[in-house]
Amino acid sequence: MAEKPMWEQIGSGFVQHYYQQFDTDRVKLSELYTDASCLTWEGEGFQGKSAIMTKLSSLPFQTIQHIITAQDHHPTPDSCVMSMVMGQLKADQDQVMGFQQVFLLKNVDNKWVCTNDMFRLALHNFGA
Amino acid sequence: MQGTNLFKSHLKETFNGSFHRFGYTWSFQTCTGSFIRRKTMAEKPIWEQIGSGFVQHYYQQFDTDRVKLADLYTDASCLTWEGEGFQGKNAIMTKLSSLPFQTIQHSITAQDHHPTPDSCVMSMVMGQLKADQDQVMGFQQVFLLKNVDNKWVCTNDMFRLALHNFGA
Repeated sequence: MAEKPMWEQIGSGFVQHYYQQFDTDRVKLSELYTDASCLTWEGEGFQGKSAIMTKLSSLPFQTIQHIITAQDHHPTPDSCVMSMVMGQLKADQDQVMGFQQVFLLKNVDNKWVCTNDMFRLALHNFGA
Repeated sequence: MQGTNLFKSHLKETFNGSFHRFGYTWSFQTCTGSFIRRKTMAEKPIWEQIGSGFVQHYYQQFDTDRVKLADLYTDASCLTWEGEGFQGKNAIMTKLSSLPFQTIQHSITAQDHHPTPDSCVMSMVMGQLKADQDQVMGFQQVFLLKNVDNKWVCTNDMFRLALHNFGA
């Protein structure tokens, strides 16, 4: 039974949980961040759980749906997990858009939290 | 006297924090009732300098002589290329050297850089590439950089073509 490596289990588990929460009740995402977390959302930086949650809560759509098309997970030298995600999203009645997101996960007090998060819409990729 | 104080606090409130004009950063100093200025040193944070420097160097090397990319990896480095994993400098360089194109050109459209809790730098890149006479394709890549013996090396590298993003 070729079990997935530990970091893949952690990474894919986090990714699944993150987008499920995001799409249903993104206020609950606050559990995944700490005061040391950093988010860069479409090039704009936010530092710490409060600032991050203010940004995520204030995103201007009523409904959102993410579909993951690809994800990669690595263990890092400092025992973190780095995850890269490509997918598509649909906000309200807007057209479907591609996106990419990267998470750096760290085990803090026996819980995997997100210390670094970067999100961008795939508006720049004019190919394919 | 009271009028002056009200005016000062109005000024302080109006120019809350500081503003930038003429290459200076201005702030209102309530006690003196005047504006003070200092030269605006809008320097990029260190992690942005490291990240953007690495990104520029990486793609320049990749496009001209990718064999030299070996300097950027160590035996502990991991690469995932289009979902396939490679561990260590040798395996990574074998993969990169064996990519089936004669010429390659990368164009970066966006990049983000973060410092990580363990003093590394994480960089996310979006761009386009053109291999030989193929059509232009979008790609994304992520690097984790670590300072080893006073040199920034790539410990983790993930690359994917943007074939999955059917939107926009």
